[in-house]
Amino acid sequence: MPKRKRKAAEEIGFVTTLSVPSEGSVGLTGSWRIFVPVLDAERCNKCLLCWIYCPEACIGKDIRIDYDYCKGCGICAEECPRGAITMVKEEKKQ
Amino acid sequence: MRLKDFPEEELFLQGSAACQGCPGSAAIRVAFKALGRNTILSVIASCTSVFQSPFPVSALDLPTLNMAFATGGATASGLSAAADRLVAKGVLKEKPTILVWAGDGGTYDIGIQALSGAAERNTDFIYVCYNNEAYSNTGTQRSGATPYAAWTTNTTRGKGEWRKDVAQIMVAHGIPYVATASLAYPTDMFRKFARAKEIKGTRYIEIQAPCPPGWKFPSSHTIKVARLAVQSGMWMLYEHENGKTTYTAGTQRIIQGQSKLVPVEEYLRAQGRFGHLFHPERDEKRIGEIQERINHVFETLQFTHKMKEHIMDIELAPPR
Amino acid sequence: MRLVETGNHVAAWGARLARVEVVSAYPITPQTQVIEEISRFIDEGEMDCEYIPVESEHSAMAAMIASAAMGVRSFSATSAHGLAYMHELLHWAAGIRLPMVMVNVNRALGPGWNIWCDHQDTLAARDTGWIQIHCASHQEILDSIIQAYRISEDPKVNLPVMVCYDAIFLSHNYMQVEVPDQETVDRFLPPFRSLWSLDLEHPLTHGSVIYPDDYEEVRYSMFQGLENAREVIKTAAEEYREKVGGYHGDLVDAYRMEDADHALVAMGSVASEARVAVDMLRERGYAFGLVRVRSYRPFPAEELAAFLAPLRTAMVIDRSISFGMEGPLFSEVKAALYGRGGVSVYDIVTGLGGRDITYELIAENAVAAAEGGLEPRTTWPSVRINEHHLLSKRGVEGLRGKGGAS
Repeated sequence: MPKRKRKAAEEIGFVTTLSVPSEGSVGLTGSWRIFVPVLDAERCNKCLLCWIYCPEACIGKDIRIDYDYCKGCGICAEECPRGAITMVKEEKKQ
Repeated sequence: MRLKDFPEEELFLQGSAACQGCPGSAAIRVAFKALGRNTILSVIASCTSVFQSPFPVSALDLPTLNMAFATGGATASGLSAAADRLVAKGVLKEKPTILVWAGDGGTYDIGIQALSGAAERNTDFIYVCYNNEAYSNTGTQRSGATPYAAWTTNTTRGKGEWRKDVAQIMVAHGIPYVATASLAYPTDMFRKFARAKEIKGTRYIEIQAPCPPGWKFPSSHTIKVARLAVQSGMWMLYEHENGKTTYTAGTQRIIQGQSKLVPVEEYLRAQGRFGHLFHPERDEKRIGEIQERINHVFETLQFTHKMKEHIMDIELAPPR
Repeated sequence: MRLVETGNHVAAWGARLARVEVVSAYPITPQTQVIEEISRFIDEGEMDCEYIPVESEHSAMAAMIASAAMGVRSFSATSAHGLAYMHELLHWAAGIRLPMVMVNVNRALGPGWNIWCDHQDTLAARDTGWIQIHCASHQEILDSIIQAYRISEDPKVNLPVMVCYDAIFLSHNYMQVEVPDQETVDRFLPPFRSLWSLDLEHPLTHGSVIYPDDYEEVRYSMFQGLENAREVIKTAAEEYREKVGGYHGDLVDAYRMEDADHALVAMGSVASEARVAVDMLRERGYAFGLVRVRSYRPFPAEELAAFLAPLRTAMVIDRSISFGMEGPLFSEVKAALYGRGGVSVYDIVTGLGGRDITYELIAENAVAAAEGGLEPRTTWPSVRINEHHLLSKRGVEGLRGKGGAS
């Protein structure tokens, strides 16, 4: 949580249902995943469709996938016009 | 605007409670990018109330007021009037965009009175209905936006009525801007939000939001189903400003004859909620009824388009 | 400045002097004059304020919550069905912990349509988390609205306040009031403050999903806010008396209680009638006094117990009914006295739907109570069932089962 926001929350000295903007507001949602997107950088032409279609903002404009939060919905692989992303079964986490 | 020119900043933070493949969060990302930080948000009871994540944290990085189901339009009127006061007093340098984010239940059904009232008062705000065509938050019951023949948990053999068209109801209010959008056409959606942001008064944008668990398709197909909806004519893209409707993106291409309508069957087959139209046996009657309606609408629009071109030709012809 | 005005116009003056900046309201008889007068003030440039002519009371409350959330002093006014229609959002307004003030003109609920006074509407809103101040005069309406903002905006409270006054008796009758000047009110009521607002610099989300692990604390905080309001209401009343002038009691308002053996307990405009009854009873040798409940929420349990516990008799006048139980004020007075003293408590439910409550009726029942001749439960002394009330006497009973009267 950015510092600025934490301070704002602390200034509210009574109990009410105020929530602070945070990444990972329900934790590391990468744990929801069964299939994981894998990017073939050779094929990618940086058209940015995966970036804008991702419902969880897990692909950067540099086409880096954030595996901490990627829920594995598969939209990026389905929509990639170059077939540069494939969904593979995730290795079982320890 | 091209995708690479879209702002990079995310005002919807990753790691939210949204389902895999959620159309609501996908729509929010594009909307927030177009509207930017100077926005006050009110979320009306809907899936968004939940997928923003529970107290004491939030995936929404805008000042946000969650409000009760039937309040969208009225909440905007309060926010907007207060913002006007703050601008008048110099507390705010410029008026923020007032954004109300509601689902189809909160728009078509329980909230239509407040929305209509705000539109009649021409409250200065953008109302967004992300329309997943059912009460998805409560487990997929029918709404006024559920299409004919679609399964929901309380229309188990398919809805018997046709959906109403709130975007057209909003056009009838004579507000400055009405637009429809699709997740599959993000540049079209972004442009419409950017246009809406420039205008004062009530602006209404409705986004079709194909819902994987509610419509029963795999989470990877959200965009595909959204695209099929436009290509088949089940969802139409347009904007209405100054008394004139302009069809856009995929819908415009069909009307202008650059692409053909995809048979609606393809759209219906992509979703489990229409499965009973194909199994155990094909329901020719209902599939036919749906196709016929679409054909009628597009034949009329295509004819009008051709007539306009023809008339233009006559007008532009040099005098003899 | 001295005015002779209706209670409704006086309420509009209260909002004006409190420097309200956003008003959202929907017309309902008998509240309409409040919003008519406010829009006149605005149109004539006497009040710098946004008026939102909403399309329903539900929307009136939603808009008020939203404008308060933006950090702007907000006001609304309603009555009866309007209050019932916004009930969902009364809870929301209190739960959101933002200051705001609304006037409710106490009126009966349908069916049939009845625009006259009783307290059924207000008392049905009892458990929403709003502070409720009940007025007994035009001057008290004006003074209470100004005080209400002070109470509502106190950092220890942060809860909405409903200023309630009786339909027709107060809303429409003309009475003389002393209107303080703006500078005097400004010395009493500082500019708007709230503990949070929708702030572009510090984006926070209000009112998302909250789990059982956290919800109870939120409700406890509201409970504490109302507990804190007890002191704040007293301070506000005292300071108002000093800085502006005018005093109508704090949580309660007592009349001739110093040497009383018996007491009447009432709320709202009937207190004036009850004062006359007290004087009359005194003349007849019954040492009655009157305790008027001014703050219904927070309920003045301690104050009432202090006044009533040492007495022989207390008779409550209820202007509403909790169906299946008894007069609601009666229940609460008894609860306040539980385990304290041996006072016998009686209750009359009367004056529903605007029926006149005369001092004779009050006195007559008070004597019966003092002499032990009144049943120790809710009684309905003014009910008189006439022939035209009865289906059987009107020849329409036979129509039942035949598709109704046509």
